[in-house]
Amino acid sequence: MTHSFNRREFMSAASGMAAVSLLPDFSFLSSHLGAVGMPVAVLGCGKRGRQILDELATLPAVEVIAIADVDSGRIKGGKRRAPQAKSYSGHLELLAAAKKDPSLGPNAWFVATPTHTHRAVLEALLPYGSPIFLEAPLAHTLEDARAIVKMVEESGVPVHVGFEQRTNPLFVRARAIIRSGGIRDMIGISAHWHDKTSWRASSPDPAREKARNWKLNPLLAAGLSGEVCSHDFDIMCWLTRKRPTRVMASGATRLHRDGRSTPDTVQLSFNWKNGIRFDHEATLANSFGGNYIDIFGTHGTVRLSDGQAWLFKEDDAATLGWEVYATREQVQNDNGIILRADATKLAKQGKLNESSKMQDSLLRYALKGFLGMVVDAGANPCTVVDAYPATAMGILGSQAIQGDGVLALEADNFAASL
Amino acid sequence: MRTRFELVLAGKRLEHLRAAGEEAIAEIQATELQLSRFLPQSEVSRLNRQSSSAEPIALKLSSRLQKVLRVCRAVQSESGGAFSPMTQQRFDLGGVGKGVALDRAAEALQDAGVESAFLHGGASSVLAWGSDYSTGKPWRVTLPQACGASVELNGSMFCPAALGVSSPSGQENPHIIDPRTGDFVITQHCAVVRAVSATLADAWATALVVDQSFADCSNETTIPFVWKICS
Repeated sequence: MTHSFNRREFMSAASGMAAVSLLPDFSFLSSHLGAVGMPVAVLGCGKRGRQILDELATLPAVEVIAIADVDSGRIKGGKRRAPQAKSYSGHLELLAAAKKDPSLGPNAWFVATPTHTHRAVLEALLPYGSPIFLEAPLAHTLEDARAIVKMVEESGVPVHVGFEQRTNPLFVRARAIIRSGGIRDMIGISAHWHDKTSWRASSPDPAREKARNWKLNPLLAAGLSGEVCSHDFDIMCWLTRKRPTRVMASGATRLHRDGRSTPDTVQLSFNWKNGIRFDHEATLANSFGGNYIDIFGTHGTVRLSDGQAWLFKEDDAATLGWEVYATREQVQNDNGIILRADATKLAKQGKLNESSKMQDSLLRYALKGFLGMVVDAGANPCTVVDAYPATAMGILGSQAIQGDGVLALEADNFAASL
Repeated sequence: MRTRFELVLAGKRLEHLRAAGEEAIAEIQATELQLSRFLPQSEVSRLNRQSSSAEPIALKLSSRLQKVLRVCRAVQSESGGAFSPMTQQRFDLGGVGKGVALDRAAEALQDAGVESAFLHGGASSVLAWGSDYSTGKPWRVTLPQACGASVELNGSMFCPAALGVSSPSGQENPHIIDPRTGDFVITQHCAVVRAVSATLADAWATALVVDQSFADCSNETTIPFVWKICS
């Protein structure tokens, strides 16, 4: 007797299950691209590149035709996720092949190479002309970040920078509430990022360890401030569009005393002229609490945490119209109004009380934003100009940590072009 | 997967081993994010949801999930349906999840050049290669005391040795369903399977609890064991 799951069995599976409307809908890909599909290439097969490959592997009508990495050891992990893709020893080899045979060239690029290589990679890719998904931050120095902004602007090629909160439906909702006065006047932001990992990359070849561990080299990366905190800084930049005037910062190595010169624990405090402050604490020495962000206002606080968001109102805050439909839950000592993307739609479907957690990964939403821009004429969710201020904050924060701990910030620091 | 995974890695470069271990753990976490039917964002959940859609749509499965389903399908066929990747008409890869996670963790460790490792998930799925750093001999797993037997896992870096154990479930807490009948399996048999991959070992261990007739041999001690060696 043999058993197998056939299509009928498959189609009848879970017939009683309800569709979850919060999931990013990629059906536009099939309707626009049809059976032909869109060939794409992923540059960089490290941890982030592999995550991108995992997501692309399940998207309809997107075909990873090429992967590239200068580190041949990384290619193996990429090939496991995209076995049909042709592999190259870097973007230059891939570009040369595409020049000889255009069928080998992609219609979109995903750049997940180390931050310090972004400038050189973009220099090579932009003349090719296809849209680019560039991992955040833009660069590890202000000089490189400005050069990237300049060359992208001059090329006219759409480049989406992967500051993911901009495509996070929960944050889009929270931002709308904040901008419409839901917490009234902003007091400040507090961000917390704890992840107990060494931040090291392994290598069977000791000679390659240094290159793979570029994040631990202060000459090649802006440390936790640049690589991690900048994602949260972008929230502030997106919310207020105002630039800070001062940063106080400190860093220490509390756990990973393995010869690294990049601190494993940092605290940064950015000040704005109007008294608003952004405090960020990040550590690789402890994992409690994970990642969350509190945005404080005189009438309430918004917390974004691990795919969930709440609004905590002050007692004297006026009632917001939509509140009556909202569900509440206790979060520590406070009663929070659960923020949901698509709340109106869910209410109509009678699903407002279903899971308040975001239904998909931030990366998947970011990919939807990028692919929507590429094939569906959607707006660019985060241009290089948008990404510049948060990138600059990350770099300047790192400079403060490496230097005297305090840095006065000039308007020029945040000018994407000088 | 609501279980504890442990990795024992042997080698001289401590920082390198820690980094390799973290990459392996990341693979285990990614496997859960892909295979769990309880997480709405998992590929398996997407598959189950799309399968219930009123309007048929094209499905694209990742090559990694296809690979898992191919192994499941092979064991399903060879075991006469005693193992199935579906429960109550939904894809449910809980029977092989730990094994898949271990196989992928092993790939990450082997990419990192770790020459000797012992990994387990929930003490029922085991994968090892190289030798026990404390004895210099192959890794050895002792089965529950009632049996007293131990299994040597003499795998190599390029061909690890896996062990899958599916424990007996009493009447109080049955947890394995016979896919052929839909009934919970009540058995006193503990299934032990040696295989070249933890996915295969897990799948066959589940199948053997359901149907002992596929066992290579049995060991009738206090806890009856059935054994199978898969190549």
